[in-house]
Amino acid sequence: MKELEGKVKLVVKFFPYRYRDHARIAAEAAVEAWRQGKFAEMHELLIKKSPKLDRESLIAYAKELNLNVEKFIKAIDNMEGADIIERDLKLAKELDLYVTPAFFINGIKVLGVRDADYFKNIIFRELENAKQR
Amino acid sequence: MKRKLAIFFYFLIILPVLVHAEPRYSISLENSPFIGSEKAPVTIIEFIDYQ
Repeated sequence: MKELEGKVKLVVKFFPYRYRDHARIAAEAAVEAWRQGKFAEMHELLIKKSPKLDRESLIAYAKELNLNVEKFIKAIDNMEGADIIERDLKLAKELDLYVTPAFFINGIKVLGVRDADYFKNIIFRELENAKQR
Repeated sequence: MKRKLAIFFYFLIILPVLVHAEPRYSISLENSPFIGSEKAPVTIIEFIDYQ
């Protein structure tokens, strides 16, 4: 959506469901990619490759993105992203969230999968509001 | 007459305002990864499960 370039920022909070095999390690991979300065790239790759998110696949993605693989493996094996992920899980619980994806657009809650128009409507309304302020 | 007017105003003005006033959550963005320009006027927070 080129028309929205510079006007929208996406902030990611991690909400891995406990009962899914690879949800947690995928979140760990995203946190480590972020710490190595490649968050956007890994985020997109994980969405594209899902549900192929087992440990070996994640390591292959880290290689593909030219991350420091040794550091990456250490991070996902030792769950070094736990501080961020546990904090986000706690936040999700406080917000009473139990489905993903869950969005907050300038603080307005949107739950579940919606079509692009639904988001566009809210985004354009928020941009109008921002102009008037 | 006054009462009718009050009811009329309720439906015309007050009710739509109430319906439109969605709650806005205040969520900390500190120390969370983001994509896009930091000063963008619209912020979308996504709670994601990659699997």
